[in-house]
Amino acid sequence: MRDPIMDTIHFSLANNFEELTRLMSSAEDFLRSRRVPDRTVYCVNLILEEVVTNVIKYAFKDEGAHEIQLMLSLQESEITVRCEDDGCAFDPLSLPSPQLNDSIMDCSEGGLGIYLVRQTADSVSYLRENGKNVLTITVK
Amino acid sequence: MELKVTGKEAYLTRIALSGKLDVAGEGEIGDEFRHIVEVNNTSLLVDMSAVTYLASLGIRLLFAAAKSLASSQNKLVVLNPQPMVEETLLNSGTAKFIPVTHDEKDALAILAG
Repeated sequence: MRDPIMDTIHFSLANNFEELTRLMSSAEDFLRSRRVPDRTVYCVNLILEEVVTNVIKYAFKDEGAHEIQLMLSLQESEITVRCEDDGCAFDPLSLPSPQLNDSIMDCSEGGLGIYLVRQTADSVSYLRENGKNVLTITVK
Repeated sequence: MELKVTGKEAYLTRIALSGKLDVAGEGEIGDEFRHIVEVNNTSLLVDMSAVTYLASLGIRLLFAAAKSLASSQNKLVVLNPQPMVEETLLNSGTAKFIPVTHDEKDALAILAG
């Protein structure tokens, strides 16, 4: 559902990877229609993919269907991504950076997705609100 | 996402990737890529000039390959990534284990070194 006044789009998706593909396509169409620069589209795509993949893979302890709410908002040159899920309380910002030691054999790339989000975004914040994880990310 | 083996030499296998190396793309070529790493006891030159997007799952694929190759004294080098793909690789912090170059001679020198 698109709100032309706020230049904001909302997505509701189930916790599976087919839904992620649908989200990515719709989000890219929205950004292109607003003539967002290619580099910013790439960054937002990367952030959406990493954040939603993390939720699908780790947020839910049961096998049931869950709803993930996404909001994408444009304000001048800044884009805000807000992701809400009703999974287990988890602050992705608490994850340590990937352990990239001197020898590749000692390295672990766990946490790479969230690390990339932090490297790509201008700001990332997390809060637990009304039993939901709420992650808000901005990109310029 | 497509994977093509573009050359095989005594110490080197050349691969060209094209498309988006995201969750879906990794699902399409991941098994073949891992199989090539497993069965060829050679270093790997991965031409990424036609890869338009790279997410963490794709980086994990490259990283796991580089780690596996290192255990047999082989290497993996990425050739000619597009600017945003290269930036993503550099942002991931894995560049010291996955050398990136835009010069094939440099790539071959790294692999031979």
